[in-house]
Amino acid sequence: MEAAAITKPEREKNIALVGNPNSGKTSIFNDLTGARQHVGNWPGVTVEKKEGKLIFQGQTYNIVDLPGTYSLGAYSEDELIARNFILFDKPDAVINVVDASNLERNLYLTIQLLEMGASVVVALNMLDEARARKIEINIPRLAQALGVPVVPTVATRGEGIKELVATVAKKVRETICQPLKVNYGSEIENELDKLEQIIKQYAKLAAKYPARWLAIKLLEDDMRLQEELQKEGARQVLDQVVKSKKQLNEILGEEVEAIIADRRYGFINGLVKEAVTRRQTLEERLTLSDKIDSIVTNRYLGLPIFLLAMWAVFQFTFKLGDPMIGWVESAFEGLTGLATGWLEALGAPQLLISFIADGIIGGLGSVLVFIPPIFLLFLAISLLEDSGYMARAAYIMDRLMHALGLHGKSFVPLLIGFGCNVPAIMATRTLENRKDRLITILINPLMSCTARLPVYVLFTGAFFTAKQGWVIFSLYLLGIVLAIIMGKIFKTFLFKGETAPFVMELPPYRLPTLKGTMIHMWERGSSFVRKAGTVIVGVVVLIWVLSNLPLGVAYASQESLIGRLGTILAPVFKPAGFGTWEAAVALVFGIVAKEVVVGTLGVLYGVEEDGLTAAIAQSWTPLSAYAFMVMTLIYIPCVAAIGAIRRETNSWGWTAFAIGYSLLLGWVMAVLVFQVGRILGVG
Amino acid sequence: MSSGLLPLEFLNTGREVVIKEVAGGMSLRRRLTELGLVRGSTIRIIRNDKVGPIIVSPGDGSGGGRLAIGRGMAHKIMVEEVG
Repeated sequence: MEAAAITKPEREKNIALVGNPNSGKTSIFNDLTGARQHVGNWPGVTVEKKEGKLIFQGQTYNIVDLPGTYSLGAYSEDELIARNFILFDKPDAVINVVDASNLERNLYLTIQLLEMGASVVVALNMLDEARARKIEINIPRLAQALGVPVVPTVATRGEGIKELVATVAKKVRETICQPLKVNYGSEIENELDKLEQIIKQYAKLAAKYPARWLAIKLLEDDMRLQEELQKEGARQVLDQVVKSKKQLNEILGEEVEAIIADRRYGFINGLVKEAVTRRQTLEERLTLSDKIDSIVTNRYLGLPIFLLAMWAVFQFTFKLGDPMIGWVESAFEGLTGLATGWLEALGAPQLLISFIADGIIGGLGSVLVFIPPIFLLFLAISLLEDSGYMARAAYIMDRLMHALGLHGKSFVPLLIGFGCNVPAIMATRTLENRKDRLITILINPLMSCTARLPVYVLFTGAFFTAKQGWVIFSLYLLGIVLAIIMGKIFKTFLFKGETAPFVMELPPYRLPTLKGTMIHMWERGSSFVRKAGTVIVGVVVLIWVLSNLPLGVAYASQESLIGRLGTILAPVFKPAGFGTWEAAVALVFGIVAKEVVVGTLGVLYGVEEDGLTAAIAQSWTPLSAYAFMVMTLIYIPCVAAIGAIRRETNSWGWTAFAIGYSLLLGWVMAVLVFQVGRILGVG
Repeated sequence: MSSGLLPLEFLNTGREVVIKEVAGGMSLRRRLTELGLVRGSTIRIIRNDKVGPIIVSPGDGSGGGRLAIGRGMAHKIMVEEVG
């Protein structure tokens, strides 16, 4: 023991950060770690893992920011991650961030941490807001009742952070930590005792879990733990659980889980009564937030205000982003020219020059042009979120979205999709329910993004000059209608089961801090570049290879691999009216980015952009052109979107599904348009 | 019973009520529990527009917490008025 104690201080200490959503946990994390942060993923799941370092008195602390949760059950990925980290990674201390103006609900999580036997330091945060609401908290008394240190903080202003660090440094040196015992009443306590005794007979279980905690969780119907016990063959424990639950049901006349929750809150209420005094008049209870809400979420004003806010976000993102896209494009054009010139001077073979210029640099360019709008959009979204408005937007849209079987929260990502599907798919992160999130991701590419507009403009310019606006509008509308239909279908067949009940927190409005918003934006934007970027560059390089093989063919000619592929694919599109190899190749290239369809057709018909309209008017009909636009709208999301889908679903299966269903749907719709049109004698 | 057990859905803005029962499955109750809406807890109705979700405040409204509850859910929460 002694020897170990001497070498110990060298070791990095692990500190976990736990707390409710909106408790200011992120601010505390930023205060503690500054810029020394690292974002990764928890193994096997999409939830982000944020870590950061803190050095205090020569000791390094590794701070792990666990997902914000209200509870430590096993009913969401977030909860399970937080719980497993505390149980199995055994952090040296756990900082539990508690919102002082919402004490009861926040302490529900604290109690669960203490029941697990975690070594907790409570950061009693947002004390300024509590004071403003005339809530007085007797901190020593609260600390005594909980049996752990409580440090008052106001994270947005950095107050109390030094004290927090000092307290944590002291806490990690304590070795013994007794789990808190809530008294659940003699009936339940009896059964808990019995269960504990049996659990202790299974050495493996007893080593892995605190026995009393495991017993409580089993009575609470924790499915994960039951499954694990089944695998471990802990028959006797499971049998006793069934017996105990039956027994308790008879005595108490109710589900044990509900009673355990009641008793926990009973314990909390007793504690709060001891330590908290509230002295508000009735009028003072209506907060400034409530007053803002009475306008912002008003039955009549809510929707117009929301639409105005969204319009502002779009203007901000795309008006400001467009010139920046231009800069990125010209920077890459310059780079291509430089590299080509330099390589030619070196006497490099033409193929290598083309690979570097068109393949690698072109590929990188196609990723990087997305950066300005993505960062701007995330900046706008971060501002809306950090100020508390996003929760109101979901509240306002809930009624409308309900008709689709979706949540109010799904609306924002769908709307963003009209700008660009990539940030839109990433914006689905605000949805807690995985099913809702998957549906929203899957139907998102049906929102016609700005990249599809050049294709519409080209074809409508060739055939529908008189009614150009209406034809383009009909395509946007078609996308929305299909999204509604597909959403319904997915909901009915793929994601059966009840709609997640709509209940969400409306956090008080807050002035976002510059630092917090910038960090927020940076995390989201940079993770797109890293993860989606690799997929995009890969596909671009692949298409370059296909266009240049076999050796010696003209770039993307009918003799190249991609030309041959187009020739093979062409008959498939015959029923849709555009069964030419050029159309097929354009569609294949369109996967890189939908606007590439225009450029590709230009190359294939051997004309510049201004001659393209005439070339198309010759070899297409209005009907086949419309069918082709429908196809372009629906078929396969662009590589950037595919990358985002892969990243956000964390599943190649769902990514393949998104590609497959949209391809099929696009083909069916295009054929439908062409055939019905022919029967009706249009075109 | 006659003393007025009502679904939360029907209570007007400004009322203070005690939750008496949640007539729903365990998954619904779990979600409510972790947000602080358990049997016996007092809540104050901040806004009920008769359409769209209801805004409530757990406790007597003195805390800063505000929750939006969908109407379907509010239909299953049985409450009794205080005072």
